[in-house]
Amino acid sequence: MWDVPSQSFVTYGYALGKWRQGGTVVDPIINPGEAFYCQLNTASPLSIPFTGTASTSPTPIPGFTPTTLDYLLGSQTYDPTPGATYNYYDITGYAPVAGVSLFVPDGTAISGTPYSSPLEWNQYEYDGTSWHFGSSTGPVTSEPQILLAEGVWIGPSEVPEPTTMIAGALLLLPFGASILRLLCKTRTA
Amino acid sequence: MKSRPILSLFGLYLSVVCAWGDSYNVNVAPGYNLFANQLTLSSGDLNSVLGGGVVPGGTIL
Repeated sequence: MWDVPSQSFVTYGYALGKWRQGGTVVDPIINPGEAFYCQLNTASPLSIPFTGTASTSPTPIPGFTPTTLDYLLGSQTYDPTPGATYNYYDITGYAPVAGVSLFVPDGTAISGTPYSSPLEWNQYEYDGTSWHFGSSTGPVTSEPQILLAEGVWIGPSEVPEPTTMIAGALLLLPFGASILRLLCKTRTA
Repeated sequence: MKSRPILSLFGLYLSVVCAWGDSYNVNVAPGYNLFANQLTLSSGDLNSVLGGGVVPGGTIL
């Protein structure tokens, strides 16, 4: 499961009749609208029933900041109509904002995040007016829709690479030097 | 007057049935799967859904 504050995964393992996080016995709780990875170790696929109460409208995610943080989510609402689809509002409780992207698995092997393995994800980026497929320069497309129990990533459209951040910091060096020089001049005057 | 407790019990039964009336199946393939929960699960939570031998040696992350 994805922990938003730390922006990292929390792993639970099931053995000897109990769930454990590290060495501690604890039951994972997955609330409506939370997505998660499940590793199945059996050779055959399974069909797992989910039974509970459905929400009729999405609850806005507290402190939701998808332009800076990544979220692993699904729809909060449930429509029993076969083939029903869900949109960004059903997932988050908010309308999309510029610079946010929704990443849907493209059907191949899944691992990590869209940022660590981008080839495995279809990106839909919102520019403030329209949704684009791939990136803001990609073709305009209709609002992405997800299916029942489908998990997606929602987060910033672009994450600066470390080298980009270092380059940006280097650009600030002359600015800092001129401020230092100005301060020295003020003191001597 | 005995009908009142019976009616109350029937009402309780109906509310329980209605409360837990939503369900769907998730197909999980061997290996890694990504899916989402859309329901407030029963008190058994994932022990009844993914645990209890349904996902032997499984991992959630």
